[in-house]
Amino acid sequence: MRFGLLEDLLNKARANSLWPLTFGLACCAIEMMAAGAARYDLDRFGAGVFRPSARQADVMIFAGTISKKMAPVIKQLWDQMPAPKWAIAMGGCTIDGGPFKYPNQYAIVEGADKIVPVDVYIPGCPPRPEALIAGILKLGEKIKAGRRFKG
Amino acid sequence: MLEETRDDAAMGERYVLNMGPQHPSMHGVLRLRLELLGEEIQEAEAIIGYAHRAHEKMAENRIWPMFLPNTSRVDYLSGMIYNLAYCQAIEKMLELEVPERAEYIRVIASELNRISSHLLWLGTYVMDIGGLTPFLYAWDDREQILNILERITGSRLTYSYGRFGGLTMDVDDVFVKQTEAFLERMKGRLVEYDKLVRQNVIFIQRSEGVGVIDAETCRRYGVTGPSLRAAGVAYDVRKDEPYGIYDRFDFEVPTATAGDSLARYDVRIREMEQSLRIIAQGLKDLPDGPIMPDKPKKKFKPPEGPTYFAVEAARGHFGMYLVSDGGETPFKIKLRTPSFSNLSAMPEVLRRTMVADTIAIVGSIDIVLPEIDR
Amino acid sequence: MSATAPVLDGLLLESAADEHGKNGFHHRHVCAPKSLLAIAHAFDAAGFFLEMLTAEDRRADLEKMRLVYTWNRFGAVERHLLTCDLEVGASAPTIVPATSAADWMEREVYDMYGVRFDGHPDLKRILLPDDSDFHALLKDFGRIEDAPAPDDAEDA
Repeated sequence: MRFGLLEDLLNKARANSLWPLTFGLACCAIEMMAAGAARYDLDRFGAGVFRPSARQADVMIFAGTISKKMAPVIKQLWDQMPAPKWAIAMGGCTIDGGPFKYPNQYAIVEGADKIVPVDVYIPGCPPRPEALIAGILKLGEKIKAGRRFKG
Repeated sequence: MLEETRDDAAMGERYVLNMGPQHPSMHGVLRLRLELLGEEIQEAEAIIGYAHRAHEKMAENRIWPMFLPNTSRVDYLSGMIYNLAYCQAIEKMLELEVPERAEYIRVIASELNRISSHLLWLGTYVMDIGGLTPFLYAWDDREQILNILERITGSRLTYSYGRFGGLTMDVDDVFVKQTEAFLERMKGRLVEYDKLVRQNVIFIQRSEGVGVIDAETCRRYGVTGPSLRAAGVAYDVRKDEPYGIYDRFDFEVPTATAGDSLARYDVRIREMEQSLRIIAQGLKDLPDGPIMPDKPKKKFKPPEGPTYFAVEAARGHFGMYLVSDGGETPFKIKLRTPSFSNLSAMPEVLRRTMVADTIAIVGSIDIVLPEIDR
Repeated sequence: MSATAPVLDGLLLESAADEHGKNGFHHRHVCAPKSLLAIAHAFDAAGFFLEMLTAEDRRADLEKMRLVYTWNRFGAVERHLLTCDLEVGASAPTIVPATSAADWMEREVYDMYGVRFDGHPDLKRILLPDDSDFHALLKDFGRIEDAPAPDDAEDA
């Protein structure tokens, strides 16, 4: 049907102009900023326009450890993002707690997917800027294939 | 509460503005609660803890060497300095001798780290004020340093380069050549930053006289680092409580007198110049030899009692208070981080300033939230 | 700023010079809780700054909570270690009137160890979430060996 072609075009547009939320939490934020800087240049992938407001962003890059104090804030920001929206878990801490995971850890949430549905996981501590770019491109593939979590 | 010296009733009621913990100004997860009357801040409260990751508890839960990966994540912009500081603190407790070559490499690596931290600050501070271009230049210079250090350590940001008694990997001639080339390049770049940033009218207007912190306020809050030196106090742990082989190097401690954001900028630029000097001397005097002692310490039980060890990190005086109970696990490691004390002065400094200057002032003192929250 | 010696006569229980090169302290002192504020004023008057304030959970070996202060100077560095042991459950006087640095530092000790400081302008938690019901650095909390057994059904 003709709607399928439209959906494809929309998905291509979404994948090639992902606007991330400026959301650095800890060390990974620095590599995320480095990815946006001159050497690695995220902008050539269309994803260089970091938005300060969640309401204007379509991808939330979790860059850094999620403390328990921060978790409700993250949930609020995620809810503020309008659909379609995606989440990238950048770095070990957002995958499962990373270097801060140990039995009886009281301070952190061990993984971003305990709060929001995550689309792409990027391992590393911190991941290189190239790894972040690879993750964003992977998300682009996922979007172009038309797959995402609903809402 | 503050005395009301003008017609506040005419200005309307106080407005409470919440800034953060998610905020585009790139200082991490800081939350500022500002009470405004018009554009002027009446009271400011800094709410922290959003990056609390239980470093000190992790230290108590596992053996001494297992704290090494934590060290560079406390302040990841001075990661090399923090990592080496922990090694040096343990070496002090165990009275370990460090080979000469390792000492020199440590100084070179630490100063490279300091420059990369100041460059990052330069880019983000000017970006906070609204100048987007220097960010790209400064971070590219920083990439040169990261290349050099990554080639040796394998890491770009969170280094675990030090070991108790020395270093993991040695440097080679390529490292020396790359570092010398970087020193040459930076000389020209600092001139460019001067023209691009320091002489820019908007930059000066947004920094001069903004966020004045005087020496007495610094003392009352324990503010150290470039903020203290910009207030006229020439306190630098490398000079006043030398560690490693810093006492062999010829360098100055730059100070300014105005104590405003512009002064803090100037102090950091001149600190970078001094770091370049130190690196040049280090490369010249770099001796041959091993970088680890013959019998490196891997597991140990330091003698009972407390120890305090301090270094000059990019943000100020970083101190470690380590308590051993004679066991394999630390009884306690307290991290006295410079940003904690530096930020604690902010509520007072921000009073009676304009809300538009808040980001510039907080940016100019250069804080890293994870080292505040630990 | 003045570089005079702090006047601590009559305020300390114990005092001795220490080997700075060995442990990092020039002097070590012990005091009783009631002297904390006077000592803080003495250091402040002599141009020192409060470098660090923390606590140690010494309930197991001494049945006390130990407060640890280090005072230092810019320039002519002279680190004074001051410890003060409190009965378990007892509070300490605040030294905020002598030095503003104690504001946040005492809040952190309260947050992490549960020690209260009488007279503190706003003694509330600083790092942990406000509704936390534990004090993180106490020795009987959060130890690896006390971790609950992993739930087999949970995805690791």
